[in-house]
Amino acid sequence: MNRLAKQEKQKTRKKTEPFHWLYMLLLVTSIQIISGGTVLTQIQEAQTEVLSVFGGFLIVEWLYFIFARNLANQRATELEIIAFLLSGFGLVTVASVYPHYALKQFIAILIGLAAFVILLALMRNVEVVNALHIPVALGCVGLLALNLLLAKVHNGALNWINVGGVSIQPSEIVKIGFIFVGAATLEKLQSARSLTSYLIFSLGCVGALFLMRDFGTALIFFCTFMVMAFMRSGDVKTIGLIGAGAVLGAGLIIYFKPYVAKRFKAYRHVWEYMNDSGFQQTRVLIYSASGGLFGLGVGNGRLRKVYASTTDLIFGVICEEWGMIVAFCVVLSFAFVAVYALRLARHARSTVYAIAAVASAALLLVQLSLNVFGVTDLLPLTGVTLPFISRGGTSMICSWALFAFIKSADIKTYPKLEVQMEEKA
Amino acid sequence: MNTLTKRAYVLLGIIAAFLVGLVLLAVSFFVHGGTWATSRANGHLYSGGQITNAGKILDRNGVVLAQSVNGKRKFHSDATMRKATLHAVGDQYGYIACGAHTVCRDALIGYSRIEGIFKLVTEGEGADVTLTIDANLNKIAYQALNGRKGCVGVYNYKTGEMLCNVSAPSYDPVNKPADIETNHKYEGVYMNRLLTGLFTPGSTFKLVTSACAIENIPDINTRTFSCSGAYTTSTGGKVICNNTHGKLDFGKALTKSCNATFAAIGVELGKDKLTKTVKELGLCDSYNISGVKTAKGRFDLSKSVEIDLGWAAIGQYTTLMNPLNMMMLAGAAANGGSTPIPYFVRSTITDTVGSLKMTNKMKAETAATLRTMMRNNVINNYGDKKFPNMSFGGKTGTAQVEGEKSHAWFVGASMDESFPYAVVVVVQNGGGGSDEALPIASTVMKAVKG
Amino acid sequence: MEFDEIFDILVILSRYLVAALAVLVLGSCVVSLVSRQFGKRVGSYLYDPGSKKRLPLTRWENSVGRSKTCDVVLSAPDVSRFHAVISKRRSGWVVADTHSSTGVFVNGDTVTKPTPIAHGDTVSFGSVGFTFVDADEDDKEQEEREKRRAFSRSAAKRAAAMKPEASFYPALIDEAGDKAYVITCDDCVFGRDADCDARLRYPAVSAQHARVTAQGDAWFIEDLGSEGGTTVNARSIGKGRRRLRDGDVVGLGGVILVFNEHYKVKNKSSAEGR
Repeated sequence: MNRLAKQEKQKTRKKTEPFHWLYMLLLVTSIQIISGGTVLTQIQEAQTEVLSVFGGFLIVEWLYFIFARNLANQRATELEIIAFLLSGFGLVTVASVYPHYALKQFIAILIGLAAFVILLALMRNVEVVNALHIPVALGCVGLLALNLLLAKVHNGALNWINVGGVSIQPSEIVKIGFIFVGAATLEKLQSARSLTSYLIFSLGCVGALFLMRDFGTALIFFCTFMVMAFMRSGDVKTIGLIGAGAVLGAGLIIYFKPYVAKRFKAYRHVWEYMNDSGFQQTRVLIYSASGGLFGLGVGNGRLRKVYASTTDLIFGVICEEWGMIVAFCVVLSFAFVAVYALRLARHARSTVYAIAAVASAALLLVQLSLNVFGVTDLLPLTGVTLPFISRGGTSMICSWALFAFIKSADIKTYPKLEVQMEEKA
Repeated sequence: MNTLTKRAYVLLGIIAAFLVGLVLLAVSFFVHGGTWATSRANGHLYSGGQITNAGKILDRNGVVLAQSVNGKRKFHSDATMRKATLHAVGDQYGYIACGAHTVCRDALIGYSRIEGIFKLVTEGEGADVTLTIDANLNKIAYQALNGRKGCVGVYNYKTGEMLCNVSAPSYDPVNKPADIETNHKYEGVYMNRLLTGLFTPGSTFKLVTSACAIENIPDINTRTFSCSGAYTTSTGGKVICNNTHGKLDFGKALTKSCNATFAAIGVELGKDKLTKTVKELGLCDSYNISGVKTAKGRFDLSKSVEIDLGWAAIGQYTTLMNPLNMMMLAGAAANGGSTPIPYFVRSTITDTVGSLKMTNKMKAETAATLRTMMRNNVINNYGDKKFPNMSFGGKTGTAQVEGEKSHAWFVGASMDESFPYAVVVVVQNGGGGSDEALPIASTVMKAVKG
Repeated sequence: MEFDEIFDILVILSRYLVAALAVLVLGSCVVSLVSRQFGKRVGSYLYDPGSKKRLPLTRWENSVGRSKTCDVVLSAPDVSRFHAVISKRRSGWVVADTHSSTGVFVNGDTVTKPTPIAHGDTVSFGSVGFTFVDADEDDKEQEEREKRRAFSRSAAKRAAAMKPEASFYPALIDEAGDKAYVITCDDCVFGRDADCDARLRYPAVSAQHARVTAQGDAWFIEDLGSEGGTTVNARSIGKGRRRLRDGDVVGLGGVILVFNEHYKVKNKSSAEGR
């Protein structure tokens, strides 16, 4: 191809591209510089450490986009823009509350980004995905079993493993595997039309989480499973039956094990229990309302002093210190990502991508709902994290990986395949 | 594959559910945000259960009754003034549920849906709240009560502004007595007797019976009654009168406060008509007084026998009335039948008479008759010296309470359009209405007149 | 002091700025995500020679079966409800039997595992057979036909420009048989097959033996993997390409021809008709 033709092609591409990545990146960077700057003026300790973490984050962000554009020829980078925006919000919030945790959070973002890239490469070829199904499934079950054996009681749920001083949450990693295993090619789906083996795997995962008393994550898995099962089979009857069974099971558990119901007694009555089991919810409501639309300013909040402020309650911290507009932007972005995932799935090259994208979007939305509506008492409080924002390494990695599943459904992610399609058209 | 990818629309359901949740969340923040932000658990506003940062509370003349200085709540320097205005102003802990500190919390801390409490947190300032009460008048009223339990209320029956809102017993919010929970002296100290109290109305209720008679007995003004010291029914029930009044007409019966006549009228009217009038006068309704819901009066004749009607007609039996509501009755009579709902916090938005919420209490003709009767009562019975240059009308009451001293009542209103004030005084277990309540009303109204 | 004041103002402004920027970023992302256009779909199809109908394979994975929910619906009774899946992989198109009762066959061979299918292959589902048309190959053929047509126009023009009253074409001339193989297109295949551009009916010549192509004004010859090989001036050209000059002697599997760049075609219509 000669130079002229190349230029011509670039021109037409620019015309059809409404999303100017550099402009967006500059906007995101300015948000991060403003917010990071205010955090730096406000924190009392570890300023240099936090400053270098913020700097490192910006460098990684720019390097990623420069490489993605120029070496990997990525043209649709909205997802990464959103992911970096959200991660940045999480990083500055965590750094403003616990300056010494900033580095850990930054490393988590780095690992998340790596997971994102690796998963994208893996998902390129559906045959590889098919081949890895069984090893990944075994790995997931093994990890959960190991967790059940080794884990110690943590926050009333046994969901942490300590490996060399780093505590990891296996359930977060299993989320990735869970979707990976569920995403199969049409040929595989049509060859094994019954849900049985997949059902056993899924219910195994959900059951293990239940034994760990991590009801929030169990519910996320169950909802994701329902969505994936529907995507795979379209068998409304079976899925309805499973759903009814689950409701019945939950009823039986509450009947025979009243302590489970006790954990949720404050639901819709938080003001009556405002100093015990409704403590966190009422504080989130009080301080979120105090923040108004624009917030009280970073560091001026009081919710940060409440237990779990940077994990479960971080939505409230953002509401109080950044304001309702930013907080709603954060949660709304997930809804738009879900719309994007839906459109991608409709045009996906393989059912693998359609299932993975839809399941990831569903998982993110369910988790987001449990978090946001849990702390504001619209749903029972189950203690799940806010994707990308909450403090916690495994949660961050999982969030990036789920975005990778969505992005892999986009043909633009794989420019060589896209060229094949273009030439045909 | 087409079939499978179509199933992706299941996401739309999840997205829709999520968006509905978000809308719900936004709406609940919009609706309840003020309540939530002003919760006593909000560390920005309260410290150790005590309100710290908030705007000033001022009386109608700009006297500062409460303010925040360096994160501490300061009240008026005069201890008696603090006690007299306690129930209108409220305390820093929120024990006084009817006080401005509680009912105007969101205004005091300057909460807005857009900025939250940003100003308060960054600058330590809330918004000021101005009350319609006159602090000095409150002090005079409180001193007139002289340590007795009871309440005094004065309001402008044309605008609804309350000038006096006093309830006793009271305490000093700066030096809260240690025995407040145990000492009988402080029984019901946190409640505002004027707004949420209920008392047997005694003879003041004869105004209600009169209103019913005016509307239901056409020849009431030409009839003559006779009082032989008691009213007896055919079944042997007996209502004892305070005197033997002999022959007297309707107007005189009210002036003399003749129990026998009013018992007879009550029995003649019957339970349905009496109940209907009480209901029409709104005496069993609750009004929203600057965010405080008043107590509903109780008037229940469903289980009454004939003689009970006689007792009910003179404000005894099981009848209980709210002082503020009785004050509104006097105001409405003076104002041609209707009156605005009183308020004690000056609203920044609706401070004009035009936008006042009027409540219609009685027909204009009834009001006219009633106001003449009340006026005559003052002229002939108490003397205009008690209320000089006010064209005052009113009625005392001595409500008998079983096993205790009677409640002393006075309700009245100026019939002078240029001085449109109504008053209510209740001295709980204070004794006779004209001996105990009337002098307080006289003192307070003279102070209003200046 | 002054710096502090400016700083305070900046801090206050930043509250609104962050909110505004967040809305802006999200808004742009949404606009871009929503306005995103998706490329055209795959154009391969199954061709039914009997009814001359095309059954399009619109996706990269297509289910074939009797069920209405399949991408390719076959109503024949011996086709299972979910009979097979034809998918496009990186290596090309693949057909897989998904537990059908009557089987899938590619060129008559039973399919037991995912089997690659090429352009022109016959794919049968039970008793129903189709010719598989790969959009890529199909397009290539189309393009070639286009090219040839375009060349014959340009060749005619070129010849006319050289000498308007007579037609001159490059040609390979068989000295022994006194026969001229006129080159009428930019890309001319020599061989024994009927559909070659120049047909040499000698047993030593392969079905598709060599190709003569034009590049600008120059002519080149390359071997198409023939059995007998191709020589220019008695030297084998192997797998490479060799420029042809006027008077070069070309050997196609022993058959000797001489290249004449300006061969005069007596009958114009016969040259164009080739």
